[in-house]
Amino acid sequence: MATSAISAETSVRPAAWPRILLLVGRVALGLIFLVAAYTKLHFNGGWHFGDYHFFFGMAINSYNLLPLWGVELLARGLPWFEVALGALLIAGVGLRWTGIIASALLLVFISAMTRAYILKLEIMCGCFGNNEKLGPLTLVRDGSLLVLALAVTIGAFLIKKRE
Amino acid sequence: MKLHPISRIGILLIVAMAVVSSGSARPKSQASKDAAPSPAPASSSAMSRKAIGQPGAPITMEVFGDFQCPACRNFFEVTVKQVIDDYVVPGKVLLVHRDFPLEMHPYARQAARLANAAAELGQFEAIERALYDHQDAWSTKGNIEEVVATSFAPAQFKKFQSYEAAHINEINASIERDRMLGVQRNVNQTPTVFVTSKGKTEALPGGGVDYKLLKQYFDYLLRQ
Repeated sequence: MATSAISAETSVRPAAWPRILLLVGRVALGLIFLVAAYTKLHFNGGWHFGDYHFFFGMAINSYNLLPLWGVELLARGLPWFEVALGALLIAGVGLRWTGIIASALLLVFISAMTRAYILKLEIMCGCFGNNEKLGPLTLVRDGSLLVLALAVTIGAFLIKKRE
Repeated sequence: MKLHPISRIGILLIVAMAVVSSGSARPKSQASKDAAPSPAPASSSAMSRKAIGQPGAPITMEVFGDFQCPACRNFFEVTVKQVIDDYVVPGKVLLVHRDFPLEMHPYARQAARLANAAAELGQFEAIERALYDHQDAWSTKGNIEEVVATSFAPAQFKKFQSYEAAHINEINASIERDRMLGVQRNVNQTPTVFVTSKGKTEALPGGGVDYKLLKQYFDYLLRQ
């Protein structure tokens, strides 16, 4: 009788693999954001805490999308925003909302990159460091990251709903 | 054991700081291996021939360019001319041209040879302006000399041609030296700019830079 009670309990317990998949996905996504921030702050063989925004600003400006004040604001803030987002994703804090923010951010990046690619702008992507040329591979890579971010977001919502 | 989310972030930050610290404390040889190579030792005469400005300027701006490349022309017209007026003329920046003719541009080497000949005769700034200002007129047919000659006195232009003919091997070698320096520094497009200040060389994002942003960067370097 005791055995049948245990087996009944086991059969209703939710499977562990969705949680494990979500953990792997969010940690991977978080690490990618941390690496993206790192490459914007550490390049040419050293840390650039005092002047990283000049270099990153030049890369952002080549997209011809923002006024100068917008370029400066984004160049100064985005690496630190990526650090915060990466840390929150890895820690799993507010995962549904950090997932939405990460997806939205990647969607904005891909839109800007696709526009630049269609306009045949020969520019630097600015995604991971300042000297990575924008091309089909960068679009595919960032597209894959968007899929990952969406999967993490949907997974976080589904698991929350199931709880 | 279930950790509070704030504790998780704290642990994460401590780990990140440890990783960052270990990265900073890596052996110097590794750091210098990753660093952008410092400018190749060039003799002062070689440096001055394809340079504009004072050799003792606090900032050196090297531009790896191709005279037939439209992006280089745009960069020259929009950014470099302002840099010359605002920073090179007052002695704050030494502007150095490095030849990086791309295979896709059939007349780029021919233009570079003429520019090198003029540079040897002390006319680099004038020939650079003439080549870029009239790029549209010569880049389709390759009639460089016919087009560029209009910017110089006939006797002076003849000197460029004579010098080029007499020193063709040295000129080709000079262009190749610049190109190889670019390859060493991972230049993969033109224009690519390197800025050296206080002995430290930084590669700027390739493809040219907006003047306002470059000005901010130069002002920052000059304040250091």
